[in-house]
Amino acid sequence: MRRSARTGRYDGRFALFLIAPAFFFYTFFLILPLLGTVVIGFTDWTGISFATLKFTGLANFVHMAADEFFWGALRNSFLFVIGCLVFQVGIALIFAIILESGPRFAKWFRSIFFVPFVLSLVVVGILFNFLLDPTLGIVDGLLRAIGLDGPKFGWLGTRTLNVFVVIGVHIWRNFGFTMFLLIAGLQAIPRALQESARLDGATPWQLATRVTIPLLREVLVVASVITSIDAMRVFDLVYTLTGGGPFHSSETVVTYIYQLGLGTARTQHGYATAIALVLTVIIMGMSALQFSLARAGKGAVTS
Amino acid sequence: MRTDFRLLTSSWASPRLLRQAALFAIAVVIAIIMIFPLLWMFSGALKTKDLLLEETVINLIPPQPWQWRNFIDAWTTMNFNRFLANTLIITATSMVGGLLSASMVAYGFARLRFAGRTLLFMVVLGTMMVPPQVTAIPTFLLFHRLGWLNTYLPLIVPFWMGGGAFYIFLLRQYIMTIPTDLDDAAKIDGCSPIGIYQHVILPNIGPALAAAAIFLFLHSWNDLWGPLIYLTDENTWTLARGMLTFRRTLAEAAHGGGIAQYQIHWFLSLGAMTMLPVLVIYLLLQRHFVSGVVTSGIKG
Repeated sequence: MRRSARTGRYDGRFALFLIAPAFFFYTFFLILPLLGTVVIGFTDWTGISFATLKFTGLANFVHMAADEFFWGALRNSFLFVIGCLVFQVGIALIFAIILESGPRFAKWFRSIFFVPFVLSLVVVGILFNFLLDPTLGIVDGLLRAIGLDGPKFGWLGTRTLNVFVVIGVHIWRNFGFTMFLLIAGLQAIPRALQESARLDGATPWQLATRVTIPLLREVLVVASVITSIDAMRVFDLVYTLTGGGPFHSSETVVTYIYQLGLGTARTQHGYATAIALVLTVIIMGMSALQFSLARAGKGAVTS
Repeated sequence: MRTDFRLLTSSWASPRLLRQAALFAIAVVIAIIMIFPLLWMFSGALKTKDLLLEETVINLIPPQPWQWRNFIDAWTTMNFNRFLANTLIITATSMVGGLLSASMVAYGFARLRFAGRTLLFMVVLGTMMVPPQVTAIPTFLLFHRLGWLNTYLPLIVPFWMGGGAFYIFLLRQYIMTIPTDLDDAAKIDGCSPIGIYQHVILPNIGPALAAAAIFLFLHSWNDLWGPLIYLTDENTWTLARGMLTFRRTLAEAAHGGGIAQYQIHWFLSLGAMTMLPVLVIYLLLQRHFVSGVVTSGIKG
């Protein structure tokens, strides 16, 4: 007893030593900036000096409500989230199940599907700029070879289309990672359950929808939350593929924040920070919603 | 019974074969889509610009003679020696710091009992949801006041202080799978908590450390956001930041001054050079990577 009491106290002091750097970091580089975000979001600060800083109450948010570029960026970000939830998680799930059922070369496919994830987004962005070019790109060249035409202003230059192309490239790069998460989840499911369902005469489709996917639910929720946060915060890829253009048509919330507050010419720090605040609230709400939906779903299945 | 079973299997044997062939074909098509841009980059790196700008047929084999000088020409357009040195310094120091400090913090969260442990851990996990862009402006201001702009510090120091929520989480989950009996045995042998960390925890979390190392490496090597914001002086640029100067689309090039200035062959050779080490590391370490993600990313 005495020993455990002593080690308990020792633990406390030692834990402090271990956690201190992280605690320091979270306070100074995360909590303080986060508080700073909250404060600056309610000012008209233009980033020259604090002397010009004025509290403007809700003016930034009123401005936001009337800012069509903000709404366009928000719409694109939500398209990103929905597109990734449906296709990135969907494709990843299908291939995770197929590859885990043990076909030939499964390991090879798994490795190849993951390769784009290790590439730099600068490289991916510029590479796809060339592959998707309307006159010289290989994609349009292929289409022409079978007698079709790509979009006139290019895949990335056409206003209503470019967001979807950027989403497609994002999925191309990331679905391998999601697939890995799901494969990890599948490997944790006891084989016996699937075996007995198979012996009871379940078709592969029934096996997947009635046995495997319900058992995978928790991992699916984690994968969905990670996927949608990633989709909400996408920056590098949009920046290198389209730069948000043409004329803000492929802007996402994050690239818009960058344009307003951190790009070379823009100094609307107050307004950009207000948008960052809205983004934080959206991401937290989104994650909370997904977790609570998952909990509700769990209740429905078990009851 | 036996005949029943045989009937069952034979009745869907042939559609099953067909289905497997179809799935296999789909997987092959997707694999080609995944890998094609990469193959094209590596072959294009060895082509002349004229050929790249004319070529509309898919050709993954560069013509003879292979244009090896692309690599040298591209490397010398800007001070890429400097960029490489900067990238190596930033990547190496971030990795060492990230692994050390994340594993220590993870050990603290996994093994030691102290007041507010759960709450602190929830805070750490919560920060994963906050994109760096949200706090970018105040953080920029902070680094500006500290005089850290155009130094490596904004890209390195955060990794020495906890290493980031994702890595803490990954390592903590893995440490939780190590039986506490080992700790107790070491404690009885007179090990202090730091001794347990050194002799029990560290030697047993190899796969998770490898996975974390790969993610840390990928992050620092490929990061664009950090260098874009904190490094404006060309002497401090990383490879990724340097290559960004080639981001001039063909459309832009055609509008302003012509395609002649569009140095796609240089970009492709730079891309090939900077991605080769990443691909080699991925291929060598992928087994660790898989097992690390499997054991730590999920169970918890």
